[in-house]
Amino acid sequence: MDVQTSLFWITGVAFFAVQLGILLLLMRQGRSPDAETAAYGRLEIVWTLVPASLIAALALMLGGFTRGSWTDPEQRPTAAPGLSLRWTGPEDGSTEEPRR
Amino acid sequence: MGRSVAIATPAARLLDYVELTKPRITFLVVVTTAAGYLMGARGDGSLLALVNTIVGTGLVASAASALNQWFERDTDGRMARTRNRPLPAGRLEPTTALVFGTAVGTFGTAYLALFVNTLTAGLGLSTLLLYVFVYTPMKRLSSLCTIVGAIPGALPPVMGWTAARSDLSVGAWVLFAVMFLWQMPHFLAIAWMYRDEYRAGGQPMLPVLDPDGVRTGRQIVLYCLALLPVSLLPTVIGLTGPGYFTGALALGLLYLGAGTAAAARRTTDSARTLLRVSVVYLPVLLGLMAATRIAP
Repeated sequence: MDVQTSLFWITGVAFFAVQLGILLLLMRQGRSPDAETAAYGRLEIVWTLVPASLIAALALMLGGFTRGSWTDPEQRPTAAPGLSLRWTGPEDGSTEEPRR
Repeated sequence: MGRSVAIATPAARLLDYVELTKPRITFLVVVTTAAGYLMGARGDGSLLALVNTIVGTGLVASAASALNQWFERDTDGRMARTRNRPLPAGRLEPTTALVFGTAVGTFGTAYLALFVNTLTAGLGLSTLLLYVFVYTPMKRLSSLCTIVGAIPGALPPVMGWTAARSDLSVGAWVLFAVMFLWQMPHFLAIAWMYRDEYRAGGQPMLPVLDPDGVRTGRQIVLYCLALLPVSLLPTVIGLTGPGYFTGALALGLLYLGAGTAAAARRTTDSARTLLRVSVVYLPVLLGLMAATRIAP
């Protein structure tokens, strides 16, 4: 992995670690006997899950987009992939139509 | 007894209409749309297409703001920050604002459909409807309105992208995610600074429900942390060059630092500092994107 990819993963792991910590704390609060604390704890769980859901959705899209190659700097696309087809004729230089 | 409307000069009346469109928010929408267009454009894109996109998106954003003010005219009258707006101050009739917002929104959507493309027009209409009919009424019901409101707030760069490419490929969603996540610390800082007014206006923003600010601070830090890897994605997926990566990392750490300080101190001053950092973060990040983009 190159430096950029490493830094990208470090920031991602830091986010998920903090998120997990917050979720554990909130789940404890959600079981509080105080109804108001419990309700606010549940509300904050929704707040906390939103960024993770967004990142998960992006990861799925990126996985489909590049079939996982974007983590590999050798295979990383340098631009959005496009497809162009051009008929160049037979390799032997003959002008015959291709056989069907 | 009906509300009296002050008689104003044509210039003052024009200014009231401009104020109804929330020009600063509309400007931000236009800038993020232009950034989305530049990121999506193949080659240098077309200046005329960019102008058409900006005009159409600006009209839709103006309409959303006008209709939002029409819906919130009573709430706005109860908050010092908003009571001098044209509707609560009685300088414009509510019906006039409603007709203005509806007409501008219809024209803006039609403009996008005719001069840009139907996908961008559809996104514009979705942005308008989400903002006016979902986010605005939800502000009186739940703090989650901030999350819902961030969706139409994050769509303008996607509209710029679709205007340039007519597709919703992954680059558009990366821009959406960056805008979405950036907004949360930004709006939580505003909601913290004006929490007493939001309480008076009956809007249960997170800082209103959270008097000591611990929950608000936690969420600010969490969303700043989420923004960091997402903001690096344009380089990781090959949309921007390495200069962007370095700049985005530095900006993200600055935003995270301001967010962590606001969470630790929980004062109005630290929230204001976070707000200032957020308004520096976005244009610099978008500028870096545009400057280092790799044309597809």
